[in-house]
Amino acid sequence: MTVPQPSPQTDPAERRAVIVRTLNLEKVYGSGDAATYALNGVDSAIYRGELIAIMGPSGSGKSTYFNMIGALDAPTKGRILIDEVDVAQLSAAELAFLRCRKIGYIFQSYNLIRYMTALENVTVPMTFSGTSPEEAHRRGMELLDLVGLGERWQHRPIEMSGGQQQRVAIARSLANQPQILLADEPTANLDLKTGEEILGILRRINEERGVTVICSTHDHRLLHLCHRIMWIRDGKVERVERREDLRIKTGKIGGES
Amino acid sequence: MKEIVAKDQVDLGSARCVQLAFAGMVFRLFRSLITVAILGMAVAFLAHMLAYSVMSGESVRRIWLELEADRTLGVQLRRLESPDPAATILTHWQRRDDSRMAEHRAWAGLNEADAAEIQRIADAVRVFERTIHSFSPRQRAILAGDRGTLELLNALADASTREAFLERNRQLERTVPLGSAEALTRLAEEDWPALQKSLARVRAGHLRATGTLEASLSPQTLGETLIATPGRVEELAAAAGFDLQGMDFPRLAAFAGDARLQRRIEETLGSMVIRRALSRSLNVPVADVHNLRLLTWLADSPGHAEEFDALLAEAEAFEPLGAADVHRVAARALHVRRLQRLVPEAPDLDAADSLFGLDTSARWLILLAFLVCVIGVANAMLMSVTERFTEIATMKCLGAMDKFIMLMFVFEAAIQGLLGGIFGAVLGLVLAWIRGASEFGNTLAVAPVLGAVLIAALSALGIGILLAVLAAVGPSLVAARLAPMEAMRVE
Repeated sequence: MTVPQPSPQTDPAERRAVIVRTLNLEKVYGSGDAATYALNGVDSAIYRGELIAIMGPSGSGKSTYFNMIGALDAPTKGRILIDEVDVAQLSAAELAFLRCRKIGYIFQSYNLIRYMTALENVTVPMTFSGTSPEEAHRRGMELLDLVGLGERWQHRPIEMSGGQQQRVAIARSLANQPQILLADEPTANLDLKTGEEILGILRRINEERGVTVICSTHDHRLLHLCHRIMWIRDGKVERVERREDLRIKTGKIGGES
Repeated sequence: MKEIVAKDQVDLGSARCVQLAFAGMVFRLFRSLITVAILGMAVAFLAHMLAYSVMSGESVRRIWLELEADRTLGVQLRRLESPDPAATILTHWQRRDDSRMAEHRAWAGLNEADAAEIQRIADAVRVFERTIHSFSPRQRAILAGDRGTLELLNALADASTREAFLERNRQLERTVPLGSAEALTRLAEEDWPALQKSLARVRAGHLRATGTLEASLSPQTLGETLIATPGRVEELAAAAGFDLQGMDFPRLAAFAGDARLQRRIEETLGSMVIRRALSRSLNVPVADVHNLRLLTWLADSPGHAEEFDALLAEAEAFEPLGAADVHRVAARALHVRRLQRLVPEAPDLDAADSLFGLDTSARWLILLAFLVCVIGVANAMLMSVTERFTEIATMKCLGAMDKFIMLMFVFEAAIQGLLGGIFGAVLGLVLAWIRGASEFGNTLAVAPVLGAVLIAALSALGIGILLAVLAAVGPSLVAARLAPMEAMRVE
């Protein structure tokens, strides 16, 4: 089949391998007169290795779009290609495989499993991918070191601060070396300083590991760290901007350049 | 565009499910314990019902056999003393009691044809009795009033009574007993009077035999001779035409001796001197000195029996009875009284074979208890699932398959069922034992049915696990079907 051109806002110079692509994505809730379009024909492309912020007001369809590209929800119409695989055609077991190894999820409220230690939380996805316990333990400790919590591997979520919990969650999202990190408002529940640390870690992971980071956020500090910003409004992609362009248009935003 | 190269997620073994289920359970310890307790109670209820039923059934059977042995000895003794009533003779023929029938034929001088005739009519009477008993009590009252079936048969010899009976029978829309009015007429007018004559002949023959025996023992009574020389009674009874099959004369003698001693102990209460002396010893008013109190006191300790003997010697109204025997007989009499209270009527010995001997109401009660338990546990599981929506959805985002989630909750329930089951089975056995011991005391049969009791406990345990899993199916399905996007929801 022919792949349509990426959205017109994209600079041809930025054209690299596409890792997530949506084609005429529609999501309708209800039917007939009561039908509500959460997404109304979204064409988008996210490139391998970029850090992209998805912004939009509440009710814009941002969350719906986010769930779609995370293979968590099925569209009413259109297609989602993750790493060139059509998500709609996958079986339940294939979807589980995709979620387990291709995508790492980071949640606004961390969603750590309360009765597990930090290390156990990090190794849960490895269990699901069939990693041996020894290997899982080793890699889990590495990942906890990466987010600076190697010393606290035995702590349970209740014994950790929000920032620490989110860092465990980031370590967990990296458990099976995913190509995509999907972060849903990762800093919304955190204070400014901690939020900044979390954003820093995401940026570092993006740079050092080449993981594509997709981050839905209201946090304007992220605008200075990301490569591109996708604005969603009324179920459509309003515009996609590169950070450089943004700076030219709006000048300095937030506290640092 | 690349070919789709998606792979299936690995299917994890149950071990990891159990591990996660256990971890989750320990975390929610308090709620888990409540679920375990609910399951435990249901299992305890079942285990207790089954185990108690098994133990009490066996106890009742043993008690009944013991009482029956005494009863048989009593019947044998009476048979040597006085003729059986006609109804009893009839029963012997209906039950085809060969030994009794041979006796009857000898006493009444019945030939083959006579015997066959008695047999035929006795069977017809039995059919009649059975049909009448197949009516409901209300219908029986309409048909027979307060007459017994044999009385009814007597009354039916009268043609007008019979007409009225047949008319009421028609109104009840039941078949005529014996099938037809003619058969009934023949039985009531000819056969039954003929049979009664034969029975009377047998009875007269029996009376002659007891008379012969008594005369040959005279001047001693049967009881006295039996206790002194059981062998002699055996010889003379055989000479008088009694069939001695199944009669153990030494045992019969011991039984008669005990019965006579008990009678003599009770007779002492006829003397005011003894009553006054006993009232002092027992420390109760004279009016309260009665058989049961006396027997209880005597059974209490051999010392009391000696004291009693001393009283008798002092009063000079009775000869001493022998302390050791008095104590033994009193204890035995009390024991039999207690057994008779425990098992007042013949138990249905066949019922014990089916489903641990539970009766219908007990089965419904158990079913109801299970229903309550399943609903309770399902509710608890559903709450557990509901409050773990985020956790479950997150696990699905991390790659858990529906089956894994489902199994996790089923295993959680199974573990709870196992724990509750073990706890409940032990509790149930203890309860059954306490209840049995309080009811049957030292006549509670435990050792002989230990196997069945353990099987009862294990079945209760198994059913506990089954109930837990059954209750978990619904909530587990809810969990397994949860959309992974629920993980994104922020409360």
